[in-house]
Amino acid sequence: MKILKWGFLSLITVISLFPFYVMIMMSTYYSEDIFKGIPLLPSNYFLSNLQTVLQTDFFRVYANSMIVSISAVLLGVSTSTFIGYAVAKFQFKMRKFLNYFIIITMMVPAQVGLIGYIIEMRNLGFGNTLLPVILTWSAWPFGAFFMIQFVRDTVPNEILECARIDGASEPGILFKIVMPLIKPGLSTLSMLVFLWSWNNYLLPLVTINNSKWFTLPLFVSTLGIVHRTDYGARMAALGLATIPLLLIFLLGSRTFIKGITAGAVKG
Amino acid sequence: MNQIKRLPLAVTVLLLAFIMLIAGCAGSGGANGGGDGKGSGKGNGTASSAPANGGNASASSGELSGTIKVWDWDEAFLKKMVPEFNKAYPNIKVEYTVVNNNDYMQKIQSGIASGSDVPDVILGEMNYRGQLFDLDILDNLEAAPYNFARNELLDYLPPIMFNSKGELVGVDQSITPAGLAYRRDLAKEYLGVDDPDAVAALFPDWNAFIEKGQEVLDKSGGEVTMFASFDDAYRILREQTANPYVEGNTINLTQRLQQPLGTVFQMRDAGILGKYEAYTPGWNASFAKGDNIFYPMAPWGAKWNIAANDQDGEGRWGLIPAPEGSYTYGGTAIGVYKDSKNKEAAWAYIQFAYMSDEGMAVSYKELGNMAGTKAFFEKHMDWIDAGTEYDKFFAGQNLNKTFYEKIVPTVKAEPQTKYHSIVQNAYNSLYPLWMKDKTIGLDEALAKLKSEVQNMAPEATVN
Repeated sequence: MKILKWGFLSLITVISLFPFYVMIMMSTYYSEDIFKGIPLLPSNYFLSNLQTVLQTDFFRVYANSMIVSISAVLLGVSTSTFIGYAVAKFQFKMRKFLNYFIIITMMVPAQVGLIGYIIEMRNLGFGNTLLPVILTWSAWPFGAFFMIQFVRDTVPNEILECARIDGASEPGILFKIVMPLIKPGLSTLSMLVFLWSWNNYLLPLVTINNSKWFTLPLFVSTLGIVHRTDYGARMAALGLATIPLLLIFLLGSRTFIKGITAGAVKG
Repeated sequence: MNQIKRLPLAVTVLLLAFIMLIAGCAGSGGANGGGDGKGSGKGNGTASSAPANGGNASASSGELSGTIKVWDWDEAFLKKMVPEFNKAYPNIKVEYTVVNNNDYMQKIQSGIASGSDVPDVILGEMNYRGQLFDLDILDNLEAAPYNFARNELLDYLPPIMFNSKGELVGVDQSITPAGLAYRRDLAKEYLGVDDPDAVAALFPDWNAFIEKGQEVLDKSGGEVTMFASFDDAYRILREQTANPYVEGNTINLTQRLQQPLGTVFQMRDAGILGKYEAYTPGWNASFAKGDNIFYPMAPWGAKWNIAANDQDGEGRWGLIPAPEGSYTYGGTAIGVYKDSKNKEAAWAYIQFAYMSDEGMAVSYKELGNMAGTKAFFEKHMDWIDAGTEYDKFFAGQNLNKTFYEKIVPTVKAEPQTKYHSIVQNAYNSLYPLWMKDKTIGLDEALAKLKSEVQNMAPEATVN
């Protein structure tokens, strides 16, 4: 039984890690050689591919992506938490409506609101900056929905009442009592925002027209594109681009998994 | 209860804090963006362009000034050309953005719809050219301030530079007349000859091509085919029978495609088409592999198809005109945005980079681009006689001379509409099945293509 279990687990591991492995191997090939077979063994072209990537403004692009993703995490997670806490734990007019409204907005595909969003950003004077790509996370229905559920399930009303009786201020309750309780939720959400904003393509594509502000996915799409796609260089760039994600997941995997399974079993 | 009543207040405070935060961002963002909210009109939004555009453009060269925006995918070209351009026009600032050609239309459309950035110089790659022209956002280059004349272009070019109103809205980035590249070693082995003239003489028409193809197939035991892909053959046959087939909302698909597509189906049934879909990794690898003799090839193909895919292929290739006439393969039209604030400067850039002697000296000698003007070939035959670095792949055959003297004279081309892109998309989704499933015949395929086009263009009448 144990063998079966481990066998199954390692099979799944191999299947899920294989594309990642192939990506790294592909980054060591000359682009046209990649497709002659499945690239399982490293070739000798890695340094040239790396050079192609680094010849460009790769580090600025990297910094842009970092700025975008970190700001997106701060903004997205904080607004989501405020909304989640408010809707889950307070009684006020239109609360139910707000709750449904959030769910309804989740159903609208992002593409539908795109043009409107660009017009809004232009009128705010944010054209050709990183702000449109960051600010989109300030009204993030999924985050709000997630936090509403999470706060509702993990923060007992009794604790909040105790705190109030002991004279804690409302912000104090939020930051000193609620926040520590919902840590797994916060880290899960942070990771999701980071991942999604890191990989976001459509929004930067249509809002950023200045290569100074390119983010990684946009940059990768413009690498070696005249009549020929330089897959080798792209893979090298993608390999470098996944490093922060890997680090973040490794550092946060424990709380991340806790966050996903939180609320799964309730007595 | 008390706390609950106080709540809205807390929320309001937080909200206010956020509004202030965002307002703060707006302040700094505005400073970066250079006040593009001041209604300076469509298209020009960035800090540097808005003030610089302020009406100091004049018609005489050298005094032109301002900022123009260019969206292009060819960064190598821009890096060479923009500094050259600035030697002649020091006061025109070229702000370029590298845009993937697959994303070009989407970016243009969202730019126009939202009133944000649209470049002054717009590129229309063949894949989306009809769509772009039908947006009606490009200026007529035969009117003021450009005053270009269509007869300055090579004779085959104007039709693919016309929009549906018959206005000339672009000039060619680099000419793309196309013929057939072939593997000399395979030609020698299976056709008995490898000299370009001798190979060309074997194929007076497509019937001869199909017959020879079957012989090759037999001799090689089914290993070697004439074309690598169904799509390669279709591309050639469709374009060499160029003929306008869209009138307003009517798409005369049957009349247009029956004959060329029929020939491609004949080739498929004769077994002379390879198993690859065009521009897949397998197709790319087939150049070096040597299981196909012929590939469609335009001037850009020497570098991007042959040299890139067959690095060790020096001396291995040859170039001939296609049986029954030449065609165009790819290509990009360069036009000026209708609402550009700086049309003279944009036109100066286009003229310099794509047509002038100074610009072409760099563009031709370093990047291999040939201008689409008659003047270019009249003045610079010596450049062409000198050959290019890619001739070595073709055993010293002078490629550009072959293109100009043997291929250009029979090129045909048709005006592009948005329906051309739709028909192409429909075809792209269908042909992989046609090449695999030999029970699908021409009539069935055409019917399917028509219904697919009809789905994508419900307003059109598809015949």
